[in-house]
Amino acid sequence: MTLPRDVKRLLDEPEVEASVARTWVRMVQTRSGSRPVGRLVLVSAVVTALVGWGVFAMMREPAPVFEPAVALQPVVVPSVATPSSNLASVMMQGRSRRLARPPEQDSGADVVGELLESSVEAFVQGDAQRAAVLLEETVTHHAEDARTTEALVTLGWLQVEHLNQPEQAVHTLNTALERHLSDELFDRAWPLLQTARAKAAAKPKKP
Amino acid sequence: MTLPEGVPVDDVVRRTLAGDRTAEGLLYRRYAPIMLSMATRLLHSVPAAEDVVHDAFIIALSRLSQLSEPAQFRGWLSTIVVSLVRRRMRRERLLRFVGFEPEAENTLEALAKPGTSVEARGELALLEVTLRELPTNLRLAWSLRYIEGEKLEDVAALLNKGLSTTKRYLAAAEERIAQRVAIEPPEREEEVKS
Repeated sequence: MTLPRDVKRLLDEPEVEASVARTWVRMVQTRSGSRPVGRLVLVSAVVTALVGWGVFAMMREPAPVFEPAVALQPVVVPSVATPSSNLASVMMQGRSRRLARPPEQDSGADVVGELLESSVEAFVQGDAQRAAVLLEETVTHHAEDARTTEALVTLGWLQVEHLNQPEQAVHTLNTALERHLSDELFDRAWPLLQTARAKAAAKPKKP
Repeated sequence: MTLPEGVPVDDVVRRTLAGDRTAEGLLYRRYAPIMLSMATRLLHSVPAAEDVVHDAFIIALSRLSQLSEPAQFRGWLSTIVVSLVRRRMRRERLLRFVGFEPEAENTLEALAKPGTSVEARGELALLEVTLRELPTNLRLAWSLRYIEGEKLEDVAALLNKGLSTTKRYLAAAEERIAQRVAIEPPEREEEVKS
């Protein structure tokens, strides 16, 4: 058997999908690697300074105590009527509730905010499926809202990490990446897309 | 894994230079699979290929402003990859010399297409062993020319060597390979003569 001169003709293309994803994640980590180091140095310096100051304070002689020249008389404060604890609590609750809500929420205008909040709640309660449905609702019916871009990335994350739907995740994340993403969102979305692609490729196809 | 049709690479390079992270990602999506395939075939190891491509993109993106013609991004990136592959091959050769045999899971034989005859697989395994024993420049020149299928001028450019030097490398590699592996002779005689 004589090998053909064009050896490549005999070879298959190596599987590189997973490598592409892995290498991208490494690149993102490498390129953002300088910041944690800088932060670590800063934190170390602060901790060293605090520990040094504490040790210095402990080693120092105690400060002299000065006795007052004249004996002080105790001051008697007259008691003032306070509102009942129940009323105060209700007021505070009402106040905090009003402060927590944006003004338009009272008028029912912030539907997207409500949907996102409900989605988070559903996820916290362990219902990833419902969280995904709520996010889908958000991105489908409120596409004009800027927050739907983040909702798309979060939906992609749910699909790839919690719902085992890598194909849908690829579609969702591609849709997100077609929009103008912030650096932070891009850094989240791109590795997720690679993971979703790798999982979709590894998933056995239905006959 | 490719850029949308109609997006010229020079445009994407300019957008990357302007700080557009999406364009940077698109550049990676277009060229990383090509570079990973090439590096895997040259180094016969996926982890080694990943290391090389990772380093190549880090270097390329940090020195992108030095690229005089953005449309030549692929060639420029390939040169960086080949340079890193050469460094890696030299290190592996040195390790082999001192008794540490690096693992190679993606050998030429393992990459053979399904249906390749047993004899051809045997010759590929023999070619693999012979290539490993060659000096780095010879191995790289021959692999780029006949495994990657690059033109002679492109091999010279990728190796950053002159045409005559590249021909000399190819001739020397050819001489040693032909002694052990049954392979068709080169089509053009002048390619193997210095």
